[in-house]
Amino acid sequence: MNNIFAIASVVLKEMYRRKDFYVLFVLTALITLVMGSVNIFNDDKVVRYLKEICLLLIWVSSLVIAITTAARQIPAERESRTIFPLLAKPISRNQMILGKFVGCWIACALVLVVFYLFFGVISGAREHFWPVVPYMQALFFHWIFLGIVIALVLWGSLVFTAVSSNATICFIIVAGIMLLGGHLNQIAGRMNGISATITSAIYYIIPHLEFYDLRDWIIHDRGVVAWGPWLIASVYGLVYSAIFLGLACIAFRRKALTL
Amino acid sequence: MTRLLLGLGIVSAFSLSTWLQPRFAAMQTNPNATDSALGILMGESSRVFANHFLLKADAYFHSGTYPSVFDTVTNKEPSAIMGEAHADHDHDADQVHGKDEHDDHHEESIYGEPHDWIERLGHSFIPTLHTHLDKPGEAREILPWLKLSAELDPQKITTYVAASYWLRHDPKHADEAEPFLRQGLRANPDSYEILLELGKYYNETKKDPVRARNVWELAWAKWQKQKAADKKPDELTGAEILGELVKEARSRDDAHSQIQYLELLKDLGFDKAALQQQIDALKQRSK
Repeated sequence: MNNIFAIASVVLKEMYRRKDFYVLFVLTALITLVMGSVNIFNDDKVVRYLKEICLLLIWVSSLVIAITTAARQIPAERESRTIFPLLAKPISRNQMILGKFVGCWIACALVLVVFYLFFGVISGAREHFWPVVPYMQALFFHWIFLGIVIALVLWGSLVFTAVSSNATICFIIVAGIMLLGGHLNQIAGRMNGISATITSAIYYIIPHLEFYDLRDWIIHDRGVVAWGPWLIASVYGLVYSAIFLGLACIAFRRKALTL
Repeated sequence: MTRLLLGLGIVSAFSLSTWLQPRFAAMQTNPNATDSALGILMGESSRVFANHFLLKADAYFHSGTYPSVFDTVTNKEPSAIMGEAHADHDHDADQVHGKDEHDDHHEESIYGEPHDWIERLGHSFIPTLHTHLDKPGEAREILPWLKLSAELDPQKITTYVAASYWLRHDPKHADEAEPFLRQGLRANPDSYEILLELGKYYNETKKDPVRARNVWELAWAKWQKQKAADKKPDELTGAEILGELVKEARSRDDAHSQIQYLELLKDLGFDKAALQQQIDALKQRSK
């Protein structure tokens, strides 16, 4: 366990040395504040459009941070050849993967806390009320979502040769699932034959990342999400993270590290 | 010396501005153009986004409960926010009869029974109950999207009419409706729909029936002009304009005008027998 946290701490240190988060946060804050200053028929209480824009920017920024951070972990270690002394020490390949995952995931948690704090302040300043529990539920769901994405990207970094191709493919997969994942059953229902079966199979196999998108819920002040489904979806997300991590561990064990 | 230089500077600046102003005016191809910078930058694609933002306004009106393209078989223009606007007059009649069809759908899921456990679980995290932003002032949340939609597609008349309806029904923003409708009218000078809405603004918000009548008469003239040009104007809106004119004439007890507008309404083909009955009654009374 110590080995895993030692690697995770290195990932965290790398994260705050890099400028990605600062740039994305400043951009998010700037765009949100500019949009907030727009005059909407002389009414300063209009807030939902601002929440929508701010949450969209938070989702895009956090996804960019998670994918780009996770995608370069293993390839960077290989390119700089630091992977050899790391593995020569009593660290197994599985521990390395888990360490990288934990590091990226904790880094994303810190990023999300800052982003959601900003979101809470902006929306609260206009609405004059702070629905803390729904915001915490949304933050946790967002974190679970990023956990699945990080595990998927780590696995991808061992399957694809280049960081850029892995990042691009993962972006497409995540965006595809977010947009279409929940509707594949309806699409399959309108198809016939083998294509319907394949579409239906994909529907049941893919991780349903759209579950974790509570933006509409938060924007329209729908209150606290029922705890039962919230808990089931959290476990569902953790199971998918574990599956992708398992696949990453298997791929890493089989991978020849010679350059 | 300093004062002399300062004076020379001011005179030079004034001369330069008088020389530049007509040149800049000539550079502008159409001084009356209503296109926004956003619309110009986005070109034709702005119309697609304008429709998207109009749908977004409709989704906001339903508190985020809105079917996707996969949930609906038709992909028509949003009808709900406009439906509310058009149902303005029918609403009173419905209340008299003790029913309001739109309200029947309140607090119901629009998605129906989920097909499987994934869909069932997914429905727990999206707004599925059909509710409206109908508390006082709540509808303001749809206005940013309507404003953006109008910026992107100034020719989309629905946007101005819907925004005006919600603005004039909020006492705090009622006065904002007129400049927005005027903006729409500048972009669509032949729009009888915007004129109908402007007339309602003068009649209901400003309590100025004379001005309202003039605007509605202009709206009817525009409608007829489009009919003559075979542009197939919306007959329901035409009937609504005439309906407003009949009501206004009734408030003045002007039987002659009422008969005139009812005859026109009859020509449109709406419930001819009932209209004839009303015309006969008015003729009888005026004898």
